[in-house]
Amino acid sequence: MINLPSLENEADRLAALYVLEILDTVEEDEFDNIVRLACIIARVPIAAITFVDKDRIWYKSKLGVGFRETPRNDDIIERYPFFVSVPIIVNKDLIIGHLSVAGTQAMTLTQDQHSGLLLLSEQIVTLLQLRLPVINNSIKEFYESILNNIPTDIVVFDADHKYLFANPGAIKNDEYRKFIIGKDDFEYAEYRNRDPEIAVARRAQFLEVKNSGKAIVWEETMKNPDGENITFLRRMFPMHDEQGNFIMVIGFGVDITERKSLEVKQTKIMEQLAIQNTQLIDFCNVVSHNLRGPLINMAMLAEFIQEEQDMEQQKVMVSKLEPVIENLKNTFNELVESIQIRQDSNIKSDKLIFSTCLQETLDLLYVEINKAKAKIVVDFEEAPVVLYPHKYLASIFFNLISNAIKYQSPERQLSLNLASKIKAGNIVLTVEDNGLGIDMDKHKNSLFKIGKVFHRHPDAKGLGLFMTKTQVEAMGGKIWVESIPDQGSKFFVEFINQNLN
Amino acid sequence: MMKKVYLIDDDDIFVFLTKKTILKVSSDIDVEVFSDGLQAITHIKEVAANPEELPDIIFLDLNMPVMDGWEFLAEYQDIYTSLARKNELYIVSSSISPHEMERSRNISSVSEFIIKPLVKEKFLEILENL
Repeated sequence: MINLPSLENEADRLAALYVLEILDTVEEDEFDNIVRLACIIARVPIAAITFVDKDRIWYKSKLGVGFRETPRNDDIIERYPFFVSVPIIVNKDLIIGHLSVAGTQAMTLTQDQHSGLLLLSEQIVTLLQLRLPVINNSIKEFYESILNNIPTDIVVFDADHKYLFANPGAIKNDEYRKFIIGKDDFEYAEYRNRDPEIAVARRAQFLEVKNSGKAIVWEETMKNPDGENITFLRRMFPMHDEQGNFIMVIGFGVDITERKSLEVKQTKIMEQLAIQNTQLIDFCNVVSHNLRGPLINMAMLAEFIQEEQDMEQQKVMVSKLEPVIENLKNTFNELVESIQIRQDSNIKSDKLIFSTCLQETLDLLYVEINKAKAKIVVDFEEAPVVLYPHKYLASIFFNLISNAIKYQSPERQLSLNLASKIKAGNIVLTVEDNGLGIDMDKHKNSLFKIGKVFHRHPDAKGLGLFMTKTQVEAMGGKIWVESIPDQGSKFFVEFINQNLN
Repeated sequence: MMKKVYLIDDDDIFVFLTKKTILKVSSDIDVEVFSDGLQAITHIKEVAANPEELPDIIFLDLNMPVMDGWEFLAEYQDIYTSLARKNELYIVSSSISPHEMERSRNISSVSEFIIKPLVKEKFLEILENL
């Protein structure tokens, strides 16, 4: 009787059969010889080696039979008075086919003949395995060693988002890696006592891939066990079977932390270069306007003085030389100072008390403040101390307050509000006045540029704000302003890295 | 008719010296001084229809408070063709920046970019080209 394969392990059986890649191959002498031997042993004219596919029986080798395949349910036994078949078994209990003999007259086989057929069936299995370039176990090891040593995280999910596979890149610990197979991220988060937040995000990504049928790629930054930021480039894509049914999702992750930090560094350098380039152009302009201007005046004056015959006129022109020289000297000194600030990036910071430093400035400006009858309100309660170079803080106070005095409104008494606030580890100092203000729409971009003045005022040289900005930025901070014309200005100075505990 | 020159510059000493230069070339010239762009453009708009008041020549500085030369030009560009008297505008700046010279070349109301100082010979040439 033919021993039809059990349907219980049909899937495994078919998988084992397909791995051998024997179906629909050409006729081969090795198999044909076994069929001939079977005929000799059983003393019958008909024999065949057949494999049981999903819905057909396929003939690898045959003697006395015309067809190459029959339906799986075809009752071939009924056609012959004598018919015996022995199963071809792989992986202990998976029947993938048969070696059959048949005759036109009823008969029985001896015990030896039957044993001979069983040996031939084993020989068929050996032949099948010899045909493979690498035997099964080695293939598994081969692929596993690739997956386990590749510097990429690899995970495979089934259709319900349960783990089918995770390589050591994805989960290093052997125990955890074993645990996760057959489970989902929520169970894993609970097992590891972790926030299920990541599981929620992963589920959403999985469903996106499953529902859209398309791969997704994203970058993800997180903390490693040492608390450092690491960035992964992740990719998830769906797998479908031959019928187009969704069966699994494969996920990859590559550590791109190094690339990321290089990108960040590069962007920073680019920004720095852009700033330095702008400063260089500003600097070039200031040399043109603020240095070349007075120099030309001096040269012209000298020429006129030489040409002038009238002594009185000569005296007038000589007297005009002095303010030009004074102006040139001041501009030159300020420029030198601004260059020193840029080069002096290692200047020492001290713990400074805002109110003390402010008082020093107010003492310096005593005459001007008294003349303006300025009302000054101070609130340094939230952040009384700042870590900063004393020279710079003094200069920031001096420039901002003397500006406020210089550009006060003639229509109202000058009122100054100074305050310091804590903002995310930094301190923000504000200096607010009720003076002439600045038209921000017009001057937003040029406000802190060197040589820019916005008021028709004899003292306006436009170097103070430029200097202040240079000093603030040299320490990594920021300065900005909000202003409404004829209502007042509010300057903000941010001091960074102010965790003074 | 007497020639009229507008000198738009905030530098008192430069204005004093340039006036002297101009008057050395010809005493028959009326020089009006504006110390920033806003004063000048406001005046020009006021007298736009009056050829007696308008200049033959404008000397414009770039670096000035309140309204600088570029801002002045942005407004002047829109009105100069409709002025009652035709004139030539020269930028007179201490700037030696190629970028600023290039920028001025793209403004049709600017005849030339003169680098300070304004010398007698140059002013004579300008007068002859009027």
